[in-house]
Amino acid sequence: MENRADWFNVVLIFVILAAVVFLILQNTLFNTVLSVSEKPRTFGLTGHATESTTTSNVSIQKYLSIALCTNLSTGILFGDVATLPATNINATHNYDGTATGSTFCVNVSTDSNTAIDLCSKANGHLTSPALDVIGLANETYSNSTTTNAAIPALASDVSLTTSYVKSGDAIAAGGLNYYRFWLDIVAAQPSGDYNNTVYFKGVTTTLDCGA
Amino acid sequence: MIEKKVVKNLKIFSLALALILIVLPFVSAGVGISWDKETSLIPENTKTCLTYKVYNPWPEDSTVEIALSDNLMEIVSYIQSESVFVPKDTSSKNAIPIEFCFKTPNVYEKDCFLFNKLLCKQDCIENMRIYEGEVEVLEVGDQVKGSGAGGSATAVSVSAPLRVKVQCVAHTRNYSLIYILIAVAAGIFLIINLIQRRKKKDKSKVRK
Repeated sequence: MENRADWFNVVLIFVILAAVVFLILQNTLFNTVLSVSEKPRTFGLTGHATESTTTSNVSIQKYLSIALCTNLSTGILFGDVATLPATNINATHNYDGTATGSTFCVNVSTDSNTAIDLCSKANGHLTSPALDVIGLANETYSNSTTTNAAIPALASDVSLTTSYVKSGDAIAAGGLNYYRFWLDIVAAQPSGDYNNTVYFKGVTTTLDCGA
Repeated sequence: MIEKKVVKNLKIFSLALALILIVLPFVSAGVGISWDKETSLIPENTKTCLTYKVYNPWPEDSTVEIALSDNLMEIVSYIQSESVFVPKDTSSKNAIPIEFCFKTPNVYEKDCFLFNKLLCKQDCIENMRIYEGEVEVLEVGDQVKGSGAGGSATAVSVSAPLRVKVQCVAHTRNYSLIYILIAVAAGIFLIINLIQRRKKKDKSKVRK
């Protein structure tokens, strides 16, 4: 009886040892995980041929910076509107620059090493505290890299949207992009103060504006 | 004579004012972003951190926040959310680093024996999963600027593209768990046997 028990214990010890051996093998020899960052292999050559290696490396860095001109950073204001309906109401700084140019602008820093596309969007309709709205389609803008009395032109105005769209292409470092904004208000619009937020984003030229 | 002097002074004052206005940059606080990586290849279920740098070459201090586009937020486990103060005249060379960390999800199918989680092998026959989006740096100094008198407040940001390629790591089925379970079970049986044997010996000693 005791002999049987001894043999059983020997078998158990053998099983434990076998399991440990297989465990080690599994995680060494049988482990076929593909190395993610495998080091480059080198092969030695014997004989008269010799070979030596060196590394080649380049790092590409991009940087860009923009700022709103002061008059744009303080907001796009359309003033008091006393008569309705009103179309193409000018924002306050549409024509107050040199040669009646616009002073709404976005400035691209000279400390940028890539041309920039500008994107703009609004967070929603112009909305009053009482939740009356002026549709975003009524708030339009036009843009240009230069400005005078004629440009940015009303004729080329487009409505703001809630998704970013390009509003300036390939503006070089040190460059400016000028804007003009207009607002249409229908006759039945309830009185009140209407507000929203307009966002300006700079991206590396040719890239999408993103969400 | 006095009138002429006043006019002259006024002209000088106007000229000086005009010069100041021309020289002084008419810009608000701005934002800048600097990056050296647009694509990152990361194995699935792996944590990694990326660093972007923010700067402000403009003549006003700014406070910025970093944000990721929605399609990248799916795989981001942590992002430094506090605002970062960027002093005026911080050039791209002195840009301030902001780090955020990802943990890539398990996106590739595995062939598992137990509970869809244990004893798995992975063949990596699927196409590589790529998450594309952007890292956006927003100027949040005074939050959005503008008066409440009606009109649009304005905000400014810059962004850098980011593409995260999730790498599938092929591996064979790993039986380690089974070996461990077998060894543990055999060990328990062995201990029970040895205890029983000792008890029997003790009993037989007592009888003698």
